[in-house]
Amino acid sequence: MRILIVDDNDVCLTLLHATLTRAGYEVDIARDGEEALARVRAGGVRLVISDWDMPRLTGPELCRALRGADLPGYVYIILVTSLDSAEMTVEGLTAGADDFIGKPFDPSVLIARVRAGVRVLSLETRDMAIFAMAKLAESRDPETGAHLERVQSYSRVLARDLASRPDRDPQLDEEFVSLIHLTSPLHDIGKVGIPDSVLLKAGRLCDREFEMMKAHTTLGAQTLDAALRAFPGVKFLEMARDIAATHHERWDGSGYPHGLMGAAIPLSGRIVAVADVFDALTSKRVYKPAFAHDIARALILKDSGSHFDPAVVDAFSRTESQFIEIRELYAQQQKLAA
Amino acid sequence: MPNTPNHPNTTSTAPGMADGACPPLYVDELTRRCMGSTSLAVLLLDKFERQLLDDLEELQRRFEARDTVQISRTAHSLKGAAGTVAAPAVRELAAGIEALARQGALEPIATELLALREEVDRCIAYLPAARTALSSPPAASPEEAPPAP
Repeated sequence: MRILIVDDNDVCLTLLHATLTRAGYEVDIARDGEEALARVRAGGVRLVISDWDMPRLTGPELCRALRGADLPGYVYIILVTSLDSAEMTVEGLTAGADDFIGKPFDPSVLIARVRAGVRVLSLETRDMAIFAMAKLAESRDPETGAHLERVQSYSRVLARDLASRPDRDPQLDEEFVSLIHLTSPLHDIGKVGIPDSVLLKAGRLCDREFEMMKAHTTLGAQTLDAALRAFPGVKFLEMARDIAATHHERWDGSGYPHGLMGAAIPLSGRIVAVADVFDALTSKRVYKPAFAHDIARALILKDSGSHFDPAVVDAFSRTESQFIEIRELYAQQQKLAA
Repeated sequence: MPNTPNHPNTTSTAPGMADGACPPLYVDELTRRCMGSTSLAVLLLDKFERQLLDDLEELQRRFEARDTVQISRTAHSLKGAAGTVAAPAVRELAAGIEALARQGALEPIATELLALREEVDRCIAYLPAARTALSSPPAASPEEAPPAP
């Protein structure tokens, strides 16, 4: 684990360096916030321990810059400060800090805080494992390209917009936005249980085959339910289960597998439904060409209140430009990869 | 001599000090923060000594320039260093100057600077004794510190 320590004070920096090195961590040093930002951007740093009051960029300014930077992974930030007012705690956390440690620090407390940070970072490994599992399901359907990544991005855009509304659903908070980003790729995990003859069929599915295909929702939900029985109360598993089970339900009750209607469909399922359909419409499939954005948009808007939750469709309308950007971003990436 | 609430561990932390006098820094506390490494503690004291002199001069210069922003910044840095090496009196005086500078109260800083200068002198006079105390640890040889940055 490589840790970057940031402080303009040589005495404090020396003690930080010695404490962390002795605990077995690799330590890099920056003497101000701008140097720290450059070091993190250069890669390899997962955890930053920064002083609050520094020249050029303060600790909170560094936090904001890191949170706004396009980094390959999450960077855990601990602010070291003798400023201990409630306002400053709020300012630091709002800026993106994960933890604080008081100055002068106790070596054992510092190491305990760092270990807590390492535990949090290990969750990112969990996230990668979840995504790998989803990719495994997707790998059986070679035509869908970056479908999971796009659905993940669209779902987050929709959730974030809905969370910003004054009349938002109380469950829509930052955690919800993070969880839907994490779990939406698992919406089709049940497809691993669908026979190739159905999943990969080039022509139109007959009624019996369509019924088999529809079972991917319940198969996915059953798989995730089994995980939930082993780890009850784990929120990401609950949301993943809800999404897998309900992303083909329709607002008017005409969807599957259970014909749920309106708010009886979990919000996560209603959001992923729009994201998933929009991506399907704008992607080429064996049975259809990729529709232009305007056509896909018109189809989504037409189905507001029938297929889709009107509030989610409104969010789609407000964030349309982001959908276009995401679509173009992945299209460019695919061209480069080819 | 027993420990007192205000003077923890003064038996080994106040070499050369008169009875009842507060040591300007607490060597036992510093050693604990250095995880028992006396070489690290000595290194910190060396760096602290340089910072004391530099910051005192900087504070005086900034005071004469009526630059409260830089006074606040320098005092804050000194406060952090003094806290790290367990020099509470310097820390408190630096914190007081930082607070005054943040309020833009320049005039009272003059008095505080005089007090800080006295405490810095006392601290520097004490450092040789502190280093001696560190060079003869009472317990088994502690693990050495890794190279400093």
